[in-house]
Amino acid sequence: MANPTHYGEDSVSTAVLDGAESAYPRNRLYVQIAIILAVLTALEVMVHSFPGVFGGMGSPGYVTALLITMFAKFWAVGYFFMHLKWDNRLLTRVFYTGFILAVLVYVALMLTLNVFSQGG
Amino acid sequence: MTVTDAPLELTSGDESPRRTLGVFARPTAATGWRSWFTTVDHKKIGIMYGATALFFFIIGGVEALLIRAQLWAPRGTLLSADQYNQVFTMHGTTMIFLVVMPIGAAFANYLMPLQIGARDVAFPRINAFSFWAFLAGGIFLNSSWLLGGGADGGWFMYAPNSTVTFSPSNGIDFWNIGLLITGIASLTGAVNLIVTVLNMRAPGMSLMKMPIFTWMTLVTQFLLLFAIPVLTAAQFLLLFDRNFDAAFFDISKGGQPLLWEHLFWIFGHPEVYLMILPAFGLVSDILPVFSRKPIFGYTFVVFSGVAIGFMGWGVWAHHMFVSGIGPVSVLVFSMATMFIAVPTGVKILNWTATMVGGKIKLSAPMLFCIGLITMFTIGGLSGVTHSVAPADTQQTDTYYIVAHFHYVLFGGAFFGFMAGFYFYWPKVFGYILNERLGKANFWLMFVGFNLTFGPMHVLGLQGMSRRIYTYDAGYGFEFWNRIATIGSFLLASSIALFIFNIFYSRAKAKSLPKPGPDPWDARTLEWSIPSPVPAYNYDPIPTVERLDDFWYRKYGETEDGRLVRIASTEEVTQSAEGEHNVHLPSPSYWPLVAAVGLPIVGWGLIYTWWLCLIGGLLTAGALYAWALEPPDDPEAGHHHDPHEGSAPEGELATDEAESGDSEAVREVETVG
Amino acid sequence: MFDPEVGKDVEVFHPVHDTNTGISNTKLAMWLFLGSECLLFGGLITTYLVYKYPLAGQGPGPEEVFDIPFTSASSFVLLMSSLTMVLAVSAIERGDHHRLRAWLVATALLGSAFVAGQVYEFTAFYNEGLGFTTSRFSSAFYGLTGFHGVHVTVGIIMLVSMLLLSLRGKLPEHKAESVEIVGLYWHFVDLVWILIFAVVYLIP
Ligand code: HEM
Ligand SMILES: [Cu+2]
Repeated sequence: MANPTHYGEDSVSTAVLDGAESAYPRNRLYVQIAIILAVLTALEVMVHSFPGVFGGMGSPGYVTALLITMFAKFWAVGYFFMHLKWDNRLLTRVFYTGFILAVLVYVALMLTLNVFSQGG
Repeated sequence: MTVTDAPLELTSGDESPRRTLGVFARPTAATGWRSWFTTVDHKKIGIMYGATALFFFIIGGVEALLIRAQLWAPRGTLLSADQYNQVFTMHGTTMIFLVVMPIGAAFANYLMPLQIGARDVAFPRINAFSFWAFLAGGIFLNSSWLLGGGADGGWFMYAPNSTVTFSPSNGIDFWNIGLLITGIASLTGAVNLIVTVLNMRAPGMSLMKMPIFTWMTLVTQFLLLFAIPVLTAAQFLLLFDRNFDAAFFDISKGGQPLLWEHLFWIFGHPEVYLMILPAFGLVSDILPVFSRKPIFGYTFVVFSGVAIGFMGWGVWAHHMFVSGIGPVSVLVFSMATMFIAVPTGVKILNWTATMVGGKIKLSAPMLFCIGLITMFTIGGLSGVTHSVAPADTQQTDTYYIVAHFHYVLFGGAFFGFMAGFYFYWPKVFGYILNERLGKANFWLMFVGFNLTFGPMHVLGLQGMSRRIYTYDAGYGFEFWNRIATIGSFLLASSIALFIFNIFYSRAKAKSLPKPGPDPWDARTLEWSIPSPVPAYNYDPIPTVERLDDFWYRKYGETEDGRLVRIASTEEVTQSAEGEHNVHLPSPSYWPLVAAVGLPIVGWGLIYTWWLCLIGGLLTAGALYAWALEPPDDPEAGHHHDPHEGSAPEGELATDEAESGDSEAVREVETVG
Repeated sequence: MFDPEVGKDVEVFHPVHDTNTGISNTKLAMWLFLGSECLLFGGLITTYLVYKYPLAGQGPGPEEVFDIPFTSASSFVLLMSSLTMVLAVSAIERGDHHRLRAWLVATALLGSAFVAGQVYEFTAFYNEGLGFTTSRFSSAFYGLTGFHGVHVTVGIIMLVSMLLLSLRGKLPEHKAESVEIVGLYWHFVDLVWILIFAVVYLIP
């Protein structure tokens, strides 16, 4: 990764880095986010290793904890790495429409298939 | 423009513009039969969609006639049970995926860019690819007739009937892979058209000034965007089951047939709406023209369409009331289905209100519009009767259902398309279809349609099951089946009359005056340009101030609200005369080549893997060549603005920044 | 170069998109496609959840085969490839072609490591008696993760293509967006894995 030029990340003024809205985030921010993501992943693994803390493997507490970390990671990658923070809102809307629609219909599918099918 | 001035060994210069894959020269033909294979013009692509769909319509129609002939009398012997299964499956599949959806795509492709004042779609090459992939999928699907017989599981292909155990021929493989290919076509098309609507509207054309057809196209394409992948997921499961022995629908391994049903109908219900919405759009744009009134409640029509789009996702299990989904689900989906009738009803009310008090001219397009409104209403009402689950328990899988969906699909969608054909024919081909034949066409179709599908309500309520190859005498089915069969042949002759009209009117047109840009005194932007539409669509690009802008350039209102003509048609329409320096996206071979690879992969999956390799290489190679080929050819000979640079981001955008330039020339950038 | 829209000298080329939304067509298209992919992967994840447990006597179930420490490591690898990807985008936007290439290589390598891990995992499972056709669990598991693996592989191909373009000098700054678009796809594949890791591997 040897870079012969004297232009490191810090020599560029962020104000001019993006025509879209404001400045592009510094690479430092990206690295910070990556660290947070790594920590969250570590947390997930911890939850899995010590399920007792959250009420036991597969308990509501356990599942909730994992779902929270999962969505936090999901959101962070989209928001920072995929630039949704800085890009036009429309992109967020388009993507999350698909995502939320998927969650809704597929959860409904599973409920219909497995939960509400009793007594039919 | 670079940050660094330090020497980079491999500097990033501009690409060398014209080489595609080294050896091939770029296609240049803009006219002649060859141009159709390499075209990226949305209008030509739209025409090809329409022509191909009509061709498949004839195939599907022949299949329908076979069904009706078989059912002419009890114990019919024309088709065996197995053949009958294949014929009705292929009929349904063809009509839905190769006729109604592509006709919707044909109108969307041809009209939508014109209605928003654009030069082309956002990605012209992807557009060409979508068409070729659709055609490839259609050919692949129908190649099953020559290779051991068609699919036989019904268009919804329920598991486990669709597994190898119960359907050992290759028919269902053809169905599955064929529809995966058309799915790719629909998906790429959807992305393309949505981007076009959102990004490429003419100056001033805000969303709420768009014609309703464009709105409905937007909703339709969003439905496709999200519905197609659900079917694709289900089809992957089926593919793995049939071709790689997976256990998704293998009952002995705990496979759940209901999973397929759910996935299919999560796709399937949005699907039925995305088939009807383009026709709704057409009617909403045509009715005002022949009523000489603006559409009643534009916002309501738009938002009811959007509402249908959303609600269409929450009703799928109404197709599964008798599959044992349990009382809670039945209740929820039954209620949801009743609610979805509301926005549908809103549209019908708006159309009626548009006609009320208007100066109605019963031309052929208008007749078909009225046909849609009435016939769709009947179909919608029978739909509401299915939403009542206890009643549906009686109706489901009988001819009553067949009656319902033909009233909405033929009486709804297809009548709307016929209205569209008659209305837009002069715009597309430069001559008007004969009115008298058109009216005869309508009445013949109307009568034939009702004779065919009306009796099915009765048959269904009498208990005649759908999809059974014959029936016994003595149940009271004979009479109505006979009527239906007679009706179906009338219906077929109405199609023949339509085709005759096309050629007849073309021959006659030579001695008639040209229709001009605006033969119907219409309202939307596409009527302000010459007929047939020149390659560049608009020159200059119009600026839009209000809904039905074109109309209000022709007409003003007096204080007491009466219409007065303020400008003649010539004054407000564009002319093809004179010099038009418009740089258009260049034609390309690669969309076609990429699409050709797909069915080859399909045959490979069924027969022998090395075909997969060939097909895959063909497609992959074509995609690479495509990516390396610059979207437009700087040598294409059109005027080229020097300061504009050759499509820096590789996309097609009308250059609004230049609208201030004294030069009214606009450039088109492309990547597609 | 002088950009009239910004009104001052900009060092990094960012084309102003002349579209109604201000978003470039390609970027909007990619996001639409990703929205659509949500429903595709959703369907496969749902299938997995429905078929999570094989019928009794039909081969091993998830608890018996999953190797959480190993999968955690490969998940981590894929997650970090998102970081290198975003750094690659950032590099080309600054006109730093060396770093662009370095980060592209890093991303492709991390991606390949992930795919290699998957191949290893599949082989291990297979040796434990879990073939593709063994049970509904095995079909659903291999179907879902394999499909994701194919997506990663396609991503690697795109990264390598970008790298080759850059090496041949055909990826100037004003084409930075094509790297960004490939990046969107790449991050999305990572997003899906975030879901799969939690829903498939960790939650019983
Ligand atoms: C007022 C709105 C509508 C309602 C309430 C409605 C309701 C229903 C219901 C409940 C069924 C299932 C019946 C059964 O299989 O037992 C059904 C079937 C069907 N509907 Fe509709 N529908 C409506 C509009 C439409 C439209 C607009 C279309 C297409 C353009 C359509 C196409 C179909 C098709 C194709 C089927 C049969 C699928 C099959 O079993 O093969 N419906 N409808
Ligand atoms: Cu439905």
